[in-house]
Amino acid sequence: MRGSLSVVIALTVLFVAVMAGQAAELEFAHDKGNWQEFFEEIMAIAEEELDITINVVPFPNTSAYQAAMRTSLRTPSAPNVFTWWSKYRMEDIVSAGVVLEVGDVWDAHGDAYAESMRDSMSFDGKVYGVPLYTSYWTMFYNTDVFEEHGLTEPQTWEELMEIAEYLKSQGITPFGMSLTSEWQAIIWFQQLLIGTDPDFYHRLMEGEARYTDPEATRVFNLWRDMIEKGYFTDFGLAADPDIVRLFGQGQVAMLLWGDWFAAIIESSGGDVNYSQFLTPPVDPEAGDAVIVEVAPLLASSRARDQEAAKEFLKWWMSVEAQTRWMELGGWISANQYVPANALPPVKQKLARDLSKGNYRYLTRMWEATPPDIVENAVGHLSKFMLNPDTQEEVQRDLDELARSYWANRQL
Amino acid sequence: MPLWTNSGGVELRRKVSGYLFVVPALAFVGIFLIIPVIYTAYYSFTEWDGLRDPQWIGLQNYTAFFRDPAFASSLKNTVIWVALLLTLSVTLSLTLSVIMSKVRASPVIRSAFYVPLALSGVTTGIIWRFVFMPGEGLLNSLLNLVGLSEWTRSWLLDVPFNTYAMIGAAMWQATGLNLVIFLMGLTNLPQEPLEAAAIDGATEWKRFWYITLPLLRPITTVVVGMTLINSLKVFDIIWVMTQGGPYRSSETLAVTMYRESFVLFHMGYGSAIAILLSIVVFLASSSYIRRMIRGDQAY
Repeated sequence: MRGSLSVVIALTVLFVAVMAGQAAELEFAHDKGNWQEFFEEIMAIAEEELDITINVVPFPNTSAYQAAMRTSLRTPSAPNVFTWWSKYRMEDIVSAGVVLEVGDVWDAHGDAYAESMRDSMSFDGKVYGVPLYTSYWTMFYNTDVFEEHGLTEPQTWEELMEIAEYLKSQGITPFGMSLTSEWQAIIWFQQLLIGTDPDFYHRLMEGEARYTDPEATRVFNLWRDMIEKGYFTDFGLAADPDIVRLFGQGQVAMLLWGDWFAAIIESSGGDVNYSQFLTPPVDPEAGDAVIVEVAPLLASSRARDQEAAKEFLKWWMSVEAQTRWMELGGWISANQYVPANALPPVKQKLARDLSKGNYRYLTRMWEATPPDIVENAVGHLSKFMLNPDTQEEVQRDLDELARSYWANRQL
Repeated sequence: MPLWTNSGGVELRRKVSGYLFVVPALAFVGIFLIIPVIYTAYYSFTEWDGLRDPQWIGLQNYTAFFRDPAFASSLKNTVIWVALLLTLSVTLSLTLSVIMSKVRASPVIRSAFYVPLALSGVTTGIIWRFVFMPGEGLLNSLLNLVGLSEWTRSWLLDVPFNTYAMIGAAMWQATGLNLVIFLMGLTNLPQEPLEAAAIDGATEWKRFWYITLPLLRPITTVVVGMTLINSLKVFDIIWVMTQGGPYRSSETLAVTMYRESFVLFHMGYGSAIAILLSIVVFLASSSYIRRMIRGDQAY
């Protein structure tokens, strides 16, 4: 009897010792299929650095990913770390209490990251994610077309409109714009809003201003004028591959898009020479502002190994990890101590331009206002783009949509 | 005494083994069909974001249908889909099958009509997007070629042409399958009544209308029934071609259901649409098929 007891004790001690020595195992879920290789490569480095095991779990499409994550996040079998969308796109999962607070992860990095970055992942003063990537919404332009016509990057809105008018007269469509995916309707709307009044944009997104206010009407009028002058491509053309191809052929000169569009231009645009500039404000007094899309990495508050997940996120934000991540994906790191010289030349120029001005970073409309508003707003904005005569009706419908949401908002 | 010599025991064993054979199939249907249906029915009476616990709200999702303009337009589009796909696709495939059974078409021409049936809705959608593309799209190029340039447009963004364009694409796909079924029916028709009628001097049209068509009734029932069900629940072609846009103008009930459930995460409302759609599909198809079968027995 005594002998068997000691055997049990010995086995238990052995088991605990083995378990304690075993590296933590993290599951990393994402829906960005084309980045699977990047993730695998960087996770291999993390595994070595942190002495943990990381399983990268890709999901084939965003809807399936969101549905699966919403179910699993409630349970202990939730992935430890996962990619998500910032601000209002993460609000519901944060308020459901399934996301880990990571204030100490940020604190470990001092001033390496801008406060606005932290804000885009914060609720009630607590931060719940770290940046996976940041993408700036800037103007891509075909440098050959600009050179051929003796054009230079515009410094003011007037110059940009002069260029557009000139290109139009030369049979070149100034701006590529598509509605085959309806979310794209936000692109010019948000740009014109931040170009005229960034504060108004912020208030509008937060439900503190109305879509029928004079500031909004002015933006619709500006936009309408551009549409009616024929500055945009046919909205029925798909951004990829149709518009990118036309851009590559020099039939379309400029594309207002997120940074990440560079990869698409390079794969579908043929052998095109391009660069990027920051869209000048419509009103100089509005100040320099740029739309930023911040995608976060979140950690589950229900999964095991939460400390290991935090350690991983801490490493992720480090200069070393960010440098490698930047080299892999070619996007500007949110960590300001990461040297930009590993970036492609076009991105290095963008990084320089951003550091030159006193830029105000504003979250993209897709994340800056609640999904219930923006998912429906894109429909109304498309209606306006296809038929600018509906402006009044569209503004009224948008106003009603936003007001009824904010009035009945529940979390 | 060994058990197997008892004849009652053998009977029992036979019964039990019979049930055992059915169990896997029953379990499969139960787990993947019946349980989800019961859950969906339950969720349709709740407000649920897929994240927190569902909140019971009674019939509110169902009464919300009447206040939702997107639902009204989606219902209207579903009716248009059913009406057009049913009349056009069935008529076209019947006409083509009659022609093909009379004329010896080459296998290449025949397969041109059959091929679409082997394609998925997604593939069909992608192919037809090229046809309806603005600018250099196939349809616009053709219109330009024949001097009808004022008819060219951005087909998939122009309401209501976008819905008609997608019905055209769906028709192309549905016709292939319907054609094959009709051809099968036509080749298996008894020839005697047709020959007798021909001897009696009945015209080709009369023979078709009074003999071929009534004899084809069981086949027509299958084709109409299938087209009815498929057009009521059409989703994939629309999701690929317009995603229900622009401004939700080309959504059908199935698209609205998906959008509410998996884009907006209004799982309760989405479930209510799913239940409503299932009831509509069930009622429409069962009443139609029952009537046709009863009609058959009257012959």
